[in-house]
Amino acid sequence: MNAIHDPLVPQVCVIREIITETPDVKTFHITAENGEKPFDHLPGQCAMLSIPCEGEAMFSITSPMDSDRLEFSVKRCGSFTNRLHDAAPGEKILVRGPYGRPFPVSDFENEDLLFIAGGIGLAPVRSVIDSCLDRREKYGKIRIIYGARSYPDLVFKDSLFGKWKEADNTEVFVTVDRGGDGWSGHVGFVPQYVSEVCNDCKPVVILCGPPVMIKFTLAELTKLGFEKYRVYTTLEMKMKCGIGKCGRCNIGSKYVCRDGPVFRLDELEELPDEY
Amino acid sequence: MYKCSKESLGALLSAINEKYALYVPKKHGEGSVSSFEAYGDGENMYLSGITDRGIKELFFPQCEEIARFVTANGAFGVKETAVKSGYNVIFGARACDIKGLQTLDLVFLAEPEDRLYKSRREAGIVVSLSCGEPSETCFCTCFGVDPSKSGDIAAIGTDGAYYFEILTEKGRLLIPELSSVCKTTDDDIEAERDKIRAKAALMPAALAAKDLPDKKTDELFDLPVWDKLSAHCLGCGTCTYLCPTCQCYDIKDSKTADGAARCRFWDSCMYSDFTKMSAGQPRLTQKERYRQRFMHKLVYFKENQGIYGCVGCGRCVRKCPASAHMIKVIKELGKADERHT
Ligand code: SF4
Ligand code: SF4
Ligand code: FES
Repeated sequence: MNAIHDPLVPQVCVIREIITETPDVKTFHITAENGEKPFDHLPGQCAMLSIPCEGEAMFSITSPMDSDRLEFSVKRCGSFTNRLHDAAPGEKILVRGPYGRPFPVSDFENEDLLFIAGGIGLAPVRSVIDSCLDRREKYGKIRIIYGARSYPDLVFKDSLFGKWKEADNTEVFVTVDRGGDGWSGHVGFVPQYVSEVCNDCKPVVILCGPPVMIKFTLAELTKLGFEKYRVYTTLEMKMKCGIGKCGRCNIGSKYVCRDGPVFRLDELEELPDEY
Repeated sequence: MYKCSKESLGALLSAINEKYALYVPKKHGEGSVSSFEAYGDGENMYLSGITDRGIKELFFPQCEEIARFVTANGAFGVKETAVKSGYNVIFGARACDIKGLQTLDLVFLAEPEDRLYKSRREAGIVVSLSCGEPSETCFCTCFGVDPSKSGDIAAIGTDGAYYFEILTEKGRLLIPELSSVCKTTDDDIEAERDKIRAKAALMPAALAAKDLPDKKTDELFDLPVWDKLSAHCLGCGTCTYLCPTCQCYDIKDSKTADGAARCRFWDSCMYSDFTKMSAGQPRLTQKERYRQRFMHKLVYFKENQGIYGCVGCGRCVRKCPASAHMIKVIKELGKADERHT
């Protein structure tokens, strides 16, 4: 309709495809109305999705940087995410972004990488993994540790048990808190699994998941002697503007929307304990 | 410099009002809330003290539309709200409120600029009025505010006259109106200004708040005194709504005939909803919210912008129903500094 100049005003986009990942997670593939990618992004960045009068919320972009769509994996956990889960392909949706400081993937070149994720935390991590796999020769060994409550709760099963498992020089370790439901693999929590998988290697770590998991995994990594400036994670806070102005998402003097969501462990330790 | 008699002020303001939308401080009787309103017939002007509500809302309104969505009849379109052009004039602003605007500028005019705020800022010609009678709760001098001189044009009242000094290019736009009512003069008013400055520096609140905290974030954040300071805070948000530097906002939609209007509203970090997510609540009690407000003004804002996020207007001191205000916080955090150094 009109050119948009205001960073707070979204553009009209279209939901092209919806993938059911788990009983409460769906992945939405979104393009602009003309079929193009709404904007470029880097792994770890986020965007605001909204539907008029239904709400607006920030989600991490889960597709790799070279993809021609934006993909968002959304867990059903409140009124707006419920409404999103009821959407159908072809439906219009409002999008603005990209927001935030991404994972510095170019700094990761020539490094071995260890991705650790729990639950829906694999969504931002997937963007980094796939971006790195798209330039496989630039990175060293890739290890992926992923855990969820149970087998049905694992997101991106196609990648976990297909694309990533089959990729060059890449290992995937999947664990669930609770066995059963046809699961015959590893059972146990992510932090413990980390020391089993990586007690003699010191790759760059990319870690995302629920706060408790992050806390215990960071403690485990510190114990294993990982250097803080080589461990990256993401933080979550409520957001409204996405551009460091509405005053909502700060932890100390840092705004998660603008200065994060990606923080290195040494940066994280500088912040007051309010996350 | 321009000069007019006290009696001629009305004529000057009427001349300005002919050409521009003019806002002046008004108070409608004892006990009512004073604020900036359209000049109108010039009745109920309130020039003798600082207003309850400041000039912030003329630049960053409590509620404003940012976009419209048209969703009726199968349409789905977005139209961003147009910005208004043309100048308006604010007369009688206090130096602390003007410093408040400069503080907001650091947030709203940083990339990416807030276009609605920016357009109002560019449109607003601000005429300050010197503060001859500071309130006993004012402490602007602690933050480097000069209560005698500020804005695009600085007005100062002396015994029988008003003087107007143009301080910026934008201020020059009012030369025709000033010339129509005032005489130009070479009178030296620095001595008058010095009197105002001297008086302001001795304000009791300014003396009480003079030791601003300058300690590491973590030490101040972890002080046990936050429990005591916040114990009576009601979470009413009065301090944030009246504060000339509080910038927090919410974004919400409301239904219109053919779709929705997206608006932004003032919000308050003192409210429990402010940071509540379906995934959790990082600031569980009023203590955390209270600490956030004051740490932001005195520590985080300074870390990010190089200046404090308080201008010492004293509104939170006068209006907090629980008397849980900035001066108490500064005194306690200042003490913390002494203990550590
Ligand atoms: S500090 Fe005072 S004015 Fe501010 S929210 Fe608490 S009770 Fe209300
Ligand atoms: S914190 Fe209080 S004294 Fe400081 S600028 Fe805000 S309202 Fe005025
Ligand atoms: S979401 Fe508004 S400041 Fe971060």
